[in-house]
Amino acid sequence: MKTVPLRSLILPLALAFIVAACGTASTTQPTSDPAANLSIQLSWSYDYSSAGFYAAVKNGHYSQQNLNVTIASGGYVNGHYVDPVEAVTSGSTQFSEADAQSLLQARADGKPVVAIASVQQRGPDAVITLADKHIQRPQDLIGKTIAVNDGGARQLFVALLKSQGIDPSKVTIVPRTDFGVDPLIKGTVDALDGWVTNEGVLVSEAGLQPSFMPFADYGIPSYNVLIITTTQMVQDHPDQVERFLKASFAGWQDVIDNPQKGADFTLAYNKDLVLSQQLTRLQASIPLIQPSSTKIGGMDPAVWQQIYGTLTNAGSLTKPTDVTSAYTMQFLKEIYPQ
Amino acid sequence: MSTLESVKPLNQAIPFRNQLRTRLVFSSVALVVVSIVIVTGFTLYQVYQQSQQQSFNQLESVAQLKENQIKHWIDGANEQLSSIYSELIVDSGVPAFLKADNRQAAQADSIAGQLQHTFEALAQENDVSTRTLTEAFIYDLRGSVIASSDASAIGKVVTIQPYFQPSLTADYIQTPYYAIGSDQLNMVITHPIIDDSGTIVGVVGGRLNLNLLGSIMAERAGLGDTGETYLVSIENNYLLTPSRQSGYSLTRSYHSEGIDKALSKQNGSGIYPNYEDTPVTVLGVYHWIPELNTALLAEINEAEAQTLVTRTAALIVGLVIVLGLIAAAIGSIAATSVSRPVTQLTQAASKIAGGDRSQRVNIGTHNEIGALALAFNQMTDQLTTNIAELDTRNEELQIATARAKEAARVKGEFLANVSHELRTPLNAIIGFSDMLLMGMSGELNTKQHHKMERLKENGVRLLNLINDILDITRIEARRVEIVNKPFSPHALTERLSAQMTVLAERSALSFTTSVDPNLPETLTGDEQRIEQIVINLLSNAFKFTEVGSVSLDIWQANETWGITVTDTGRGIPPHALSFIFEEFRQVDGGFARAYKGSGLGLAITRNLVRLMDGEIRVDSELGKGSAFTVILPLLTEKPLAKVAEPVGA
Repeated sequence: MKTVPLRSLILPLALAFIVAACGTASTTQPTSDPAANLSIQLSWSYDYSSAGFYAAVKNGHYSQQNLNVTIASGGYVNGHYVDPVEAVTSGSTQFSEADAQSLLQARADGKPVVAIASVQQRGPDAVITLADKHIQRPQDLIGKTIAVNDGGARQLFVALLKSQGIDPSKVTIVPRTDFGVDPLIKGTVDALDGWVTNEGVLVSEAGLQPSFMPFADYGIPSYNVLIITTTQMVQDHPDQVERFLKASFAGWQDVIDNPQKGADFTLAYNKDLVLSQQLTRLQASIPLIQPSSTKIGGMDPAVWQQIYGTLTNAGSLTKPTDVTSAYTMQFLKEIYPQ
Repeated sequence: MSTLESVKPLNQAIPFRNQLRTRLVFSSVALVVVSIVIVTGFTLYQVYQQSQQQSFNQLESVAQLKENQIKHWIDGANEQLSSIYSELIVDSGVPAFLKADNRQAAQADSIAGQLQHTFEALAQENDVSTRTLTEAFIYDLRGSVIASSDASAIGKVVTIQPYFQPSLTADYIQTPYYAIGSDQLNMVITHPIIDDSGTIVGVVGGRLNLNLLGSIMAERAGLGDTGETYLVSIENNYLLTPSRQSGYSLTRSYHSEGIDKALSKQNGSGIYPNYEDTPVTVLGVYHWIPELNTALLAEINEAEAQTLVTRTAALIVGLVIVLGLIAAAIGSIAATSVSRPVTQLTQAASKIAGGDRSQRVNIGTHNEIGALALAFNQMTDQLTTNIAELDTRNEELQIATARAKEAARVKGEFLANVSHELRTPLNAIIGFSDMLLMGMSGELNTKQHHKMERLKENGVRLLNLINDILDITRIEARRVEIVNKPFSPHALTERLSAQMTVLAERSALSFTTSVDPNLPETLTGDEQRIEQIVINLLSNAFKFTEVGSVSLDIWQANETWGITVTDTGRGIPPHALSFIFEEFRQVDGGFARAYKGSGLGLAITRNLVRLMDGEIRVDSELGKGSAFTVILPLLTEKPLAKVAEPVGA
């Protein structure tokens, strides 16, 4: 039997190696897979507050990540309120927008949901007054009338008063009857509990100068627009989650860089809206989306702790839960390595 | 004369672009424009470079100045905060208050009061332009504001503010940030409060006056009409100070090459489109200000920065146009000074060629063209003289020719008349000689008979001579008429053969004839004259041949036919071939000395042949013989009678 020269083996080996390399390369290449179909359930109907997701679709960030993402309108659909937490747990969607209180409540109820990012890193909630009323600090509310929504909002407002050493009984709290600012403008109330991005803009649009006391400035922060998913999803498809977040953040960056475009995209999703109003609200919310020294979508464990503490103290959360497992920093650390 | 009509004025036929004038004008304009463009283009480039460099230098110094002012502004804020710290905190119970588990509300109010007092005192010390702090405040380690110069801030919690965490460990300057709800930018400097044991127990902070910063940046000295300086924060690329852009938004991201480079911590300069929605190209100098974490931009519109270049360029374009026009005018004048005399010369030459020799060129310049015109005039003068002389000679020649022709005609006429008059008495002499010889006047004796025969013989010879002279003169006087009519060349040959056989027998020579079988039966011609020609030639052949043969050949070739008479006689010497057809010439030069004959036979023959539009040729070899050939046009139809024209017609 003859010995095979080494040289005659090189070519077949090299070919085999190349074929193998191509094989492995093609399995790791995301573009060779069919695009993953994902959807996100909004917490409200299509408007400026989700502009970054529209931009991610329109500017092709999702398809770049080999994702096919649909955005589902929320709020009241066909007369029924769509519960965003319910939407993920039922498996009708992979992602939802939800606020911190809903998420913590669901966690306490044992539902397997988790926050992976926060679109708004600062809460928009504030005590809104008219500048000429000179109500500049919570103490100034003593003896005044303020309209506050019943439920969680009222509990937080009471928490704010208490944190400033104010007896809640010295402030007249009336329930809000609508989303408008008419009572404030007409003078029926001295202040109202609302969002700087909504009621604040409405006051400005009415030609008046608003004055704000953001809850966050008094140690009552909030996460109003979290991106949530199921623990199952995090466990089974972490790469899809990460790609979804990357593309969404890129969409939000586009909106920050060019709010006009963001407003245009919003109108493309909901033509019934008024472009200029969407643009104003979007511009007003950009400081909430990316305040100083933060990254888009970022969350802060300290803030989570504060939120949990405030909600528990105010009685909004009735059951205890482990706040640190309500959110995961896993993807943010992956996207923003430091 | 017909060639002169084709001479046309030359300058009109020359295409415009080929004209000397056009070329000269174009050349001078091109020379001026090209040289100006080259020189000024180079200059312009230098000016462009310099003015650009100058603009950059100016922007750089402005940026430098602003940077210094900003640092001064920060130093001022730091100083003020330090003085608040030393005045308020060192000697008071603030650290103790901050450390206390159970704080006294009264003490809190007292501290707040003191802070307010100190802050106001500080504000008093400074004028508006140096009130760098708008607020001073103290917060504890939990972020709760316990005192502030702005009462409404007391009770706030600063834990979510960007400066909170860093402020707990060391002095800190917070990059300007957008404060939610306040609709304005904020900038904070902080200083930790340290107790006697060296532990940080709280923080004293100051809010900086960004309006002051704005006014520093808004000061536009040395920046022309479109120049501006502004700051852009590393936070979201927010514009920190008002820009030229009207209604600028605090929450908009501002981007440009300069902004982005400065925010990536680079200093430099460049030409790039600015941050505006409809970008304008600017010359920009950008600095990274680490103290503020911001970009400092000093920019001026490229258009303004290059006003000098634009103006110079406009000036040069104007200059080029003006100088081009001047060059065209000068070139035109110069070209005219060349082309006008050339045109004048051309026109004069054309007229002279057309026959007007009185033309002269009057240029009167003393240059090369003047010399050319002078030479031209001299040439024309000479030409005129020469032509006049030629004309005179021509006239003289014409007169002489006319006289000579008339003389010849008179001579011919005279000869014809004389010959005719001579023939009458001669005929009488011959007639009477015959009668005497016939014995009509009695028998003559032998001696008388012999003498009478000599008389008659000489009479006949004289008559023949006179007839020949008459013939030749008539032919020369063109009085011979060639009458063309059909005849049979075969019959003619037979007749001649019969006549000549006798002659041949007498002289013991062989005589042969041949006729080309292809020759038509009937030809058109003057049979009588042709016969005369053949007899003449044959007579000569027999006359000059002692032994051998004589032959007659009638032949045909293409459009011609001919008669060739060949003999084996003495032949003709080559020198004689040229004159044997002349009148009264025989080869030996004698006048019919050795041979009978007038010497007119060949002359008559030649003249007849010519009248018939034919030609005669001779080939001869001395001692061997001669061959005379007559070539005639082959006429088979009956043409009109050809009448000889009278001489001198």
